Amino acid sequence: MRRFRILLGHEWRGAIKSPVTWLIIGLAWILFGAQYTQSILPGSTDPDLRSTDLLLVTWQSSIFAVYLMLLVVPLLAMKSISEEKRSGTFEMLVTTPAKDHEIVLAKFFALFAIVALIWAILPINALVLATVDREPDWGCVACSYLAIVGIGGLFLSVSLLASALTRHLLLAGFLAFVLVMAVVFLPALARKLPETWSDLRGVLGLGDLLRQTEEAARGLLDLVHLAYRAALTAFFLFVTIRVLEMRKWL
Amino acid sequence: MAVNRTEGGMTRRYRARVLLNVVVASLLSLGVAIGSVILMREWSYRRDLRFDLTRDHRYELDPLAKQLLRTLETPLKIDLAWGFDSDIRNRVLDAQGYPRQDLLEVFYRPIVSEAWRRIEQVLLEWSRFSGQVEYRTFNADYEPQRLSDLAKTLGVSPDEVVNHVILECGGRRRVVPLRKMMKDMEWGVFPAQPGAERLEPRAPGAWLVHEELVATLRALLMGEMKTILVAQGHGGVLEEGSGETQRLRSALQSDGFDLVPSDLRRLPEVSSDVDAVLLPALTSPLSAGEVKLLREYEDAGGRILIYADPRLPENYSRILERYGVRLLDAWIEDRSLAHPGRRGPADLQSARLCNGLHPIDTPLKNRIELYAGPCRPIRVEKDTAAGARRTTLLRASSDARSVPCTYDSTSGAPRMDEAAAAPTPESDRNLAIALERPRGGSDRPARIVVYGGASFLAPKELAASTFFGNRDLLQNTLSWLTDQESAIGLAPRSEVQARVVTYERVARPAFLTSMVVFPGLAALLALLLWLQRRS
Repeated sequence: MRRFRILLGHEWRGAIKSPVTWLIIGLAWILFGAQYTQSILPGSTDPDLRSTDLLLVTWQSSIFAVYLMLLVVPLLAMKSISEEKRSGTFEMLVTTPAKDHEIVLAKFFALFAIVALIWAILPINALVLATVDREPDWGCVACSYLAIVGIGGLFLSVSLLASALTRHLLLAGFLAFVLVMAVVFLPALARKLPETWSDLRGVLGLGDLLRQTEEAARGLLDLVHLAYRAALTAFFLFVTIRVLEMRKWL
Repeated sequence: MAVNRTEGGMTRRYRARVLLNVVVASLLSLGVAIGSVILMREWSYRRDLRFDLTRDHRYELDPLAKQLLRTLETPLKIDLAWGFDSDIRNRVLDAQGYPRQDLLEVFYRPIVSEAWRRIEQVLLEWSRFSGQVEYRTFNADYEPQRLSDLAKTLGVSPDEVVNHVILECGGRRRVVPLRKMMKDMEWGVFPAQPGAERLEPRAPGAWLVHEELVATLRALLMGEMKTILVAQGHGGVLEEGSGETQRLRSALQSDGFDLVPSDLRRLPEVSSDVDAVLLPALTSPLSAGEVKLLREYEDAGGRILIYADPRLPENYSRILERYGVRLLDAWIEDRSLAHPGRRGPADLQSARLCNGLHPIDTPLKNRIELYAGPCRPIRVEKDTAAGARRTTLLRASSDARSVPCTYDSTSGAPRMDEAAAAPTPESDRNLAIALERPRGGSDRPARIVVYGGASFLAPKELAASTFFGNRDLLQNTLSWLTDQESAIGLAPRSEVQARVVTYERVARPAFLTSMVVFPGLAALLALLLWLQRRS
């Protein structure tokens, strides 16, 4: 545990002191901010109706956040292992007493904290609304935040796997992007399946992250969705650890 | 042996085995991950694993919906094809008589898609609660073939399908138009004639999605429509042709009750096909022939619902005497149950009227206000017919006092004797009572429900179902009288108004925070860190 804490501190400091990390955070914030200011625009030109449903704002922002993470998370995570492999520091790291799983988990949690920091903008925006106009439904905001950060964790585990598979930075980024796209859109295809395939639709539909985000933005906390994200994140982290371990035997 | 002695490194076979090991381990872990999620989902059918964190718990199924869904034994199929129906298209016709797509998309798409979203939310909750619920929703504009197939299956025209929720269960079908779920809706019109003033549509003031769907489900599960005969010819509040009758009839029809007005004086007998007889605050007393007719009907296991008003003379005593119950010629004043906004201590309105000892009023007790208005006290005598059960539904408080009343022998006009007012004894504090007595040789008991006031049927309070429980009380009473106990409950209330933000007030702070302050802060930090690294 001590080794893990040291590694985590090291990874966290490395990430938070990197200008690239802050550039990515700034990019995420400005894109999200543009969508957010757009979403509070009233739908009508009627002066009596120049207001917007807060639930709709939370919903649109959450869905946009998921799309944004398709880009941001692979950018954040692509260099975490592949860069170390390329520069040779990874060999030094694996020769320390630290276990493979400790290395992977330390990298994961350090980046997960960055993802949580990025999406702190969601409750901050809600707080601004509460201060200047109307208090939002904090239950919806909390559920949205939990869902987005959870999905961010899942994307991160996928991106770490991509990063572990290659020493080329751009290839790792591209692979991570393709894999997270598959994680998002393959289950979403369940909606397109014929109704007669109801069982397959049901199982695939469980993993529909966009639907999960929609439900969370409405203020519904579903433990099955939480379990799905946690199980899949654990699976990708497990495979990442196995891939790193594989190097020792080849 | 794993080492390749000629080329160095591991042998190809060994490498393949390591790779296979990793692949197998990964597949196994994927199986464990998927299996655990499927198990979790199966568990969620037995135990609700979803938590509604919204402030007003808007997604929690109301007890009535849960109760109805629990009783489902056959699949409940629900279809919704949403889109632009012919009425909407006709509002945006151009000079050539074709609907203008741009107007449809800008003004009507948001309204119908919002309706679809809200309906789907409710149906999703239903399907999560009961495995018997299967629902399909689709956009009829994008899937015209599917619409045509559905219309053909249902044996109706496509126009009767679009923007209608169609519920089918056990061979029965009920249809709710989308428009019925929208309150205070302005549909607007865009005339094709140049210079003609156009009226833009406005979103509904409130959505009645929960209410209408649950009411329809309740009616669907009740089976056939129940026939309620409404006594006519006495000038009561529900005379044929009045606006109140029409409104009440259409409201009760969607709940599965068919109001049939009929003059009892012209009937030789009350048919056994009649599920209940409603006597709604008749302005003149029943004739001896009518009383005889009703007694015979009740003797045969008939069901009667009486609304007696203290401002009107009555002669229900012959019908009620075998239950040991009597309506007194008085009205009750009760300051602790009268609403300060009403006309006086006799105008009763409170959430504390229900006694909670009978299925009819238990779901309403302390949960929603009832408007009772002026009420007669109902006395429960000590002597009663053998086996008769008398359960008080609504009750006055210990502060109640009775003001005796006499009626003019010719006009029937009431005269209240304030000077003779006295505290109401315990046995007279009943404002509504449910009566039941067994009949020898039959499983079907006779049932009567008596309300001491006619204001329970006041149209304003019946319609204002968001704030008053009068409609629930009437539905529950009719359900109990017609042996539909599973349909008794408290209907869900209107969805709360959306929490909105005013653009003028939030635009600048939202822009500053999300577009300037935070991205600027991140960029500044990136610059500082870069400069620090360079130095």
